[in-house]
Amino acid sequence: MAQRQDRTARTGSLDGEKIVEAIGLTKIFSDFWLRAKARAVDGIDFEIRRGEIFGLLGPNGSGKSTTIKMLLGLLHKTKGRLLVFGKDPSDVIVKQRIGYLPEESYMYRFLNPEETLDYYAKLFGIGRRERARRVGELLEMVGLQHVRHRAVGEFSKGMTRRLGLAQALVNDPEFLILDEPTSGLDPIGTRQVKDLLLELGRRGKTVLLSSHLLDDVEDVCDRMVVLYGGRIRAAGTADELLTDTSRTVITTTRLSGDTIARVDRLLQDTQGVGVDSIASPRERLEDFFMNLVEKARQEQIATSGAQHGGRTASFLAEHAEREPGALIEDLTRDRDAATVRSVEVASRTPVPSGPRADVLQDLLNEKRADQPPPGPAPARGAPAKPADVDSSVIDDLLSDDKRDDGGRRE
Amino acid sequence: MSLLTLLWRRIDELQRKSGVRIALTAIAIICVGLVFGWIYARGASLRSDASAIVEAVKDSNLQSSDTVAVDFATKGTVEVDGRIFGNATLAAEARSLYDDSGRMTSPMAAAQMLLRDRVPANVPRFLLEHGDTAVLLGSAVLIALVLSIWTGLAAHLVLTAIAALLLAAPFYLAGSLPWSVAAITAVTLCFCFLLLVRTTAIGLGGAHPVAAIAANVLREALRLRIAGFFIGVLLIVLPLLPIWIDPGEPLRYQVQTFLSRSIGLMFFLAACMTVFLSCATVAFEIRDRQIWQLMTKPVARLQYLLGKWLGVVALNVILLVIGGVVIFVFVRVISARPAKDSEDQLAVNEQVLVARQGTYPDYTRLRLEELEAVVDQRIAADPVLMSEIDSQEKSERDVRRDIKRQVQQEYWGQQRTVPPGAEKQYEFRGLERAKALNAPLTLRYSFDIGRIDPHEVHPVLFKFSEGRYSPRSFVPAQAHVLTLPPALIDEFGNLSITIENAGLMETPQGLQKTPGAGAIIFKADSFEILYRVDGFEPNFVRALLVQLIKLAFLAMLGVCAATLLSFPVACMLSFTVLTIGSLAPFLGMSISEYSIKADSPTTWQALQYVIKQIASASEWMLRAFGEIQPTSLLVEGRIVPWRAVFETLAVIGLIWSGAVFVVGYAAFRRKELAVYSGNT
Repeated sequence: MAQRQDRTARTGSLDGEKIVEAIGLTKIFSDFWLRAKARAVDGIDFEIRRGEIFGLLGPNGSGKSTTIKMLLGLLHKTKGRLLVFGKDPSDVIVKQRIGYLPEESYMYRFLNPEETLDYYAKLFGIGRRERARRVGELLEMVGLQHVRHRAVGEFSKGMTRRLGLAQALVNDPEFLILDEPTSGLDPIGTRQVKDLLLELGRRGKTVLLSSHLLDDVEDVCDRMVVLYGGRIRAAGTADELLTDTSRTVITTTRLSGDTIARVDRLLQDTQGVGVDSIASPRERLEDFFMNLVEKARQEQIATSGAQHGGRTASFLAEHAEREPGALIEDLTRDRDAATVRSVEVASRTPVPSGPRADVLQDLLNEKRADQPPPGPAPARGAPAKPADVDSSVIDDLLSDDKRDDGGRRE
Repeated sequence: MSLLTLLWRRIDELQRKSGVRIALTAIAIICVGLVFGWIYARGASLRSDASAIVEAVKDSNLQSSDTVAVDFATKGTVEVDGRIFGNATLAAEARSLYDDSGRMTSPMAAAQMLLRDRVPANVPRFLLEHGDTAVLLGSAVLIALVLSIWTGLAAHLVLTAIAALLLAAPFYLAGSLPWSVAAITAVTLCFCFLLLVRTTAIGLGGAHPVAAIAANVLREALRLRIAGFFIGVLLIVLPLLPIWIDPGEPLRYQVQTFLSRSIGLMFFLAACMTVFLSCATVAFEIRDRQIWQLMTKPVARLQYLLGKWLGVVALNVILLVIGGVVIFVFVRVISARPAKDSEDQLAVNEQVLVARQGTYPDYTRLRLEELEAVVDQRIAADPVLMSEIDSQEKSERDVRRDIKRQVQQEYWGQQRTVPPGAEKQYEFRGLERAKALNAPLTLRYSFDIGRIDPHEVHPVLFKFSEGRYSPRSFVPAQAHVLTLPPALIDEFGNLSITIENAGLMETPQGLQKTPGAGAIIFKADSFEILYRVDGFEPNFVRALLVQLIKLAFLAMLGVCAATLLSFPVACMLSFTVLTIGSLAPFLGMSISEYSIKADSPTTWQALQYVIKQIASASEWMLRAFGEIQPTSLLVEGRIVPWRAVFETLAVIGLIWSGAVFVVGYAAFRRKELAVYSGNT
């Protein structure tokens, strides 16, 4: 609940400075003979304002990464207008204010984490003492302090991902661009990243989050655009996009069959409608897992992989309005809210009403428009299926601590 | 944590404390100062004594019974400035140094004999003979020690020393001193390389993108096998080279062979490393997408290219510094080996380990109208050729061109041919500097006489401007030298030498000239006057600078090529440029000899024309790369002039590298670093 309140507070002041402004942004890839091969981004308009956590949502090939690469100057736009901090994205001054985590962390295998962060910090012209401080704090924050002298080539994907996140923060960026930030992370890492994003958002940082993991975006983003086929199919806040105002969910302690029957009768008498479905809320697998790990941690069971991070790096908090809290404290604090939220999610599941819901359904099925139509939607008001809970947690569990890229989603 | 790890960590922490560093530095300065200072002082004293002894004995004559000669031959001693050198055991050996006429044959050998018991047994001879080498080595050792202490590698140095001794011990115990020295040197070189890389990386530690990227290239070079292979081979093979040189050969050839092989090997391996590393560091970064992360930092593309280039060049500087010091010291070690004879020793000192300027006689060229006239005569005198031209069997243009070339060659050949009994005068101009330096001149000549037989010796007479004859003999196709006084040069800086194809034969009537067995013929570069203008040391440094400029160009080429091309293609392009550039002089000669026959089919002619134009353009563009060959110049004891260094810097270092950089940057600036990763 705390997350949602924070978000609401931030979205209330979204008329600040434009960090990104895209108008009619188009990217067409050509082949060797300069014939158009693919229209990856097709005339999209959006803007990101200071302090916002902005989500780019879409299935593979929808144009998310291409948009981000244009924002970073790695690709040149074909048409349209694109400004970052009011300048062309290829301007070096712009990059001074940006932190970027690519969809995979492309690290130098021959460097160790300390050298890696020191190298990137040097590129920002950060002095020796300040570099040493930031490197130490970031390594502690992402839980790589104990492997600081180990070559990155020996790291698991999850550990590399953590290092990638650290390098994106080394310059204390005003604008953080994260492409699939939770890819390859274990559930704890995933939760830490989400909490870190919320923490950064609270401290006034602007974040662009690209993901096809819907829960990632929903949990942290103030505003989002949904891309499909290079075009924006929907845009707005999570509440605007997802709230089904035609239905009501009441959460209470367990009711007897008799009470439920009375409630049903009452509804029939007063509103002319009955109870559609009755279910007990279930805990999300993510929360269940977090509880297990927390218990193990309290029993001091050792692990050889990445340790779970410590405090948010203090240099990132220098302009914070409040003292930085430990991430693990945030994790503990947010657990109750997450339990309630899981009930809300379950009761809000697929309501195929209106065009926006259609788009989301498309995205979930990850089918192209030209492919056969998706199967029948779940029955109206049916209880949430386990698959709807959060399958990414299981994927992450399987993919972490493996040195290959098998866990990559996009 | 094991006990060893714990101990190592403690030592590591200890060596990083400022107090310990200062104390160790002081100890290093004192120790190195004492050891090398003593060696330097001892060497200077011995050299001074040797000069005094040479002065004392050089004019001594046993038959005229002068005191010095008699004392030396009977008591085995020589008194110089009140000090007595030698003892009675040397008497017999001393007598052998006087010839039948009682003259001292080798004053230097006498000095060496008399000082033998004063030479410290445990100090390498080359350090005593060459004070500059002792200073250089002492400075290198001190720098290495201080850098080790201040870069936190003092403990590593101790471990390296132990490892080197352990590696060398089996060779030493087996009685192979050269192999044990090579083993210690190889380990030391590897350590010095790591030390210099670390020092350079620290030097590039500033928070600037160019420096940071360059320092990262150094780290990459250390940890990537591709560059490590060439560096490893260089550092291991270099110390082994002296072992593979036959000590039975004349000393001059030993020194020349070592110089040629060592500098050639160093440049070849450094060039390979440069091409592979410069291409790999960029191409792999693009392929593996690290560049996505890098170029989203505040790094301009210009800075990226410069950083990569600077890193590779810094690595080359390190390699050339280490290789240069080792080669220089080994040259001194080899040149301290015993020479075949005094002439051999003199050749080493005056023809190899020296920087000489050379000049050739003036040869005239036929004027165009003279040439055309001769061609007309030849064609008119050959009815077969005329009919072939008339029937268009042969093109007149081709025929005239071939005849012109032939006539010009014949004309030059005539100027360099001296028939038996005849004489020809040759004028060497532009010797004002030699006259001003008052340096002895070396006449180098290599004559042919129509047949090559190493057992045949032919006479020749050289006549100089003052009318003096110098009767000499020569073996066909072998180079010979004759030392001449600078006084032979006239006031205008000209020297006139006449070659007379004859010998002097002693007859009852006195000396009489006899004509040679055949015509003396020689090539344009086989008759030359050389004179010393500088020492070996600065010449060696200039040669390395030229090599460095070439390597820096290769680095720029590799970096820029890899921004656009894949690793193998960029490597291939760089190696092609390296090969064509190195072979440009030979390629140029081949192209000048290559002619397209007008009687061949038109398609074949067109193809030949295209090939020739491509070859000519490549040769023209890359001529400067191969025009100056510092290794050959060093081996022949010729000067690598500062002018050549600056020309190389201007042409290869600035114009070529600049042009490659501009093209590479222009293309890289437009390049999209990310790729399409969509579904279609």
